[in-house]
Amino acid sequence: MLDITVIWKTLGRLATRVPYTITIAFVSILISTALAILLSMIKIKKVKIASALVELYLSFFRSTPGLIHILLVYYGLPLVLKPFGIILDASGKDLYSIAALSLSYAANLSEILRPAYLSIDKGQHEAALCAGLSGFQKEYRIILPQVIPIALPAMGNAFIELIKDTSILFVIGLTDIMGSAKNIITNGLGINKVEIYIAAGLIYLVITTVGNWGNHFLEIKCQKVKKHQ
Amino acid sequence: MLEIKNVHKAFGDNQVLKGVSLKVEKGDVVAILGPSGSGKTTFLRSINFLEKADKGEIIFDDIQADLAHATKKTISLIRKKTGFVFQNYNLFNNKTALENVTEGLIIARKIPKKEAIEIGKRALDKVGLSDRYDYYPSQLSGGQQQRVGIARAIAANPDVILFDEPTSALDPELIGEVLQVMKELAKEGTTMVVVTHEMGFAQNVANHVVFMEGGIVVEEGTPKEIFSHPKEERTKQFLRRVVGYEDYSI
Repeated sequence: MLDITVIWKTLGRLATRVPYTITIAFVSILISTALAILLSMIKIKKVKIASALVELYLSFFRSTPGLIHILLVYYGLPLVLKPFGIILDASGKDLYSIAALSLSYAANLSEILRPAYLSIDKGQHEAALCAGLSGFQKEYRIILPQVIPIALPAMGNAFIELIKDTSILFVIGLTDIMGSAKNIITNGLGINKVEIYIAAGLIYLVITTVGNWGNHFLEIKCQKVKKHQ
Repeated sequence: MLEIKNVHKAFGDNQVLKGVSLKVEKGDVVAILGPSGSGKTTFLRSINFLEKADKGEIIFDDIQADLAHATKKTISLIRKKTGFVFQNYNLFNNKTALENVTEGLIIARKIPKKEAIEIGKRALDKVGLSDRYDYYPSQLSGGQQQRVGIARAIAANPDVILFDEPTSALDPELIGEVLQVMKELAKEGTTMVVVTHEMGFAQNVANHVVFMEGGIVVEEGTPKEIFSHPKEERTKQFLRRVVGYEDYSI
């Protein structure tokens, strides 16, 4: 039989790790979005050499599992940076986590942003230029306001996936929700495993449910804006 | 005022323009006619660099530039001196009718917002849309959208307005309202270059008609010269075809 009191007690303990987990997810969302904008711009503008590198980056990160990205970043990044005189130790696990999630999701997000951008009619660009707008003004005032409502719902879904993916960061020893669930199990010598995983699952359920509500609300908003467009 | 010389342009192997020239004086209404594929739209688009010509020269008042190698600054200068009306209107979908007109005024020309709104409203009044300021393009008919497009082009008071088949995408019953607006602009002395299939407009409103085919200007002159006494066999053939079509439609 399941021990409900263990689930209840564990929920309380794991809930204290929620702010930390959300912070890691949130910072990763910001960085991956910024990186995705850069990546998709390089591909859209067909920047020489850079776009070939971006292509390589995308095909690697989009066709390998997130777990590999995390392990490669954790073990690989110090090796890559060492020749440049930057010595990383293994303690900043949150930084490795953010780096891994950002690199991984930038690839996904850029493949949402790029088609959304390309779906805007060429005539919108031309009309903006004819009105005398500069390239930057054109993007900022005319094109992006039309791209965002197209891209946002899919991006929201990706953000929710990212939050769920924080649960594999325990492999490098991050004490987020999943990591501390693991710790509780180890400290308890492996008893009540099921109850503890259920508690962890419930916490993720609450977070993603809130996220889905938010996304649903966003989708309705975007639909309203798109109706004009 | 505006002179474009010897424009060449190829898309891949397809030589679309083979040395087209045009001279426009202030107050001119130039109609460019020709069968589809004759290069007339490409020529018009190359004037304000929507299409980059392979070769050619533009002289616009005191600006002189190579169409193939103009600097960003020159392109921007020439674009600010021209208005452009598109076949598919191309109104900014995320902006209301009024915002469509004021966008270029406020952002590109740095006119104070309040003043720009005044100018924008006047431009929309002029095309008969004083009750549609706050409508989005999706809420307007094709004819209304095109009239906003014209208001957007005239608002900044450019030296010349380029029209790229402004009525070709419209339902037949909406063509009249757009042509009416264009006729009024012509009457006020607006300088216009119009690529069109509207023979009536070319004949009655334009003061200079250019007939293009196969990437060259076959013949040009006053409407009377072109419509009543065409010299070239190809012009005659074209007119027989389009006029024949019109007879049939009536």
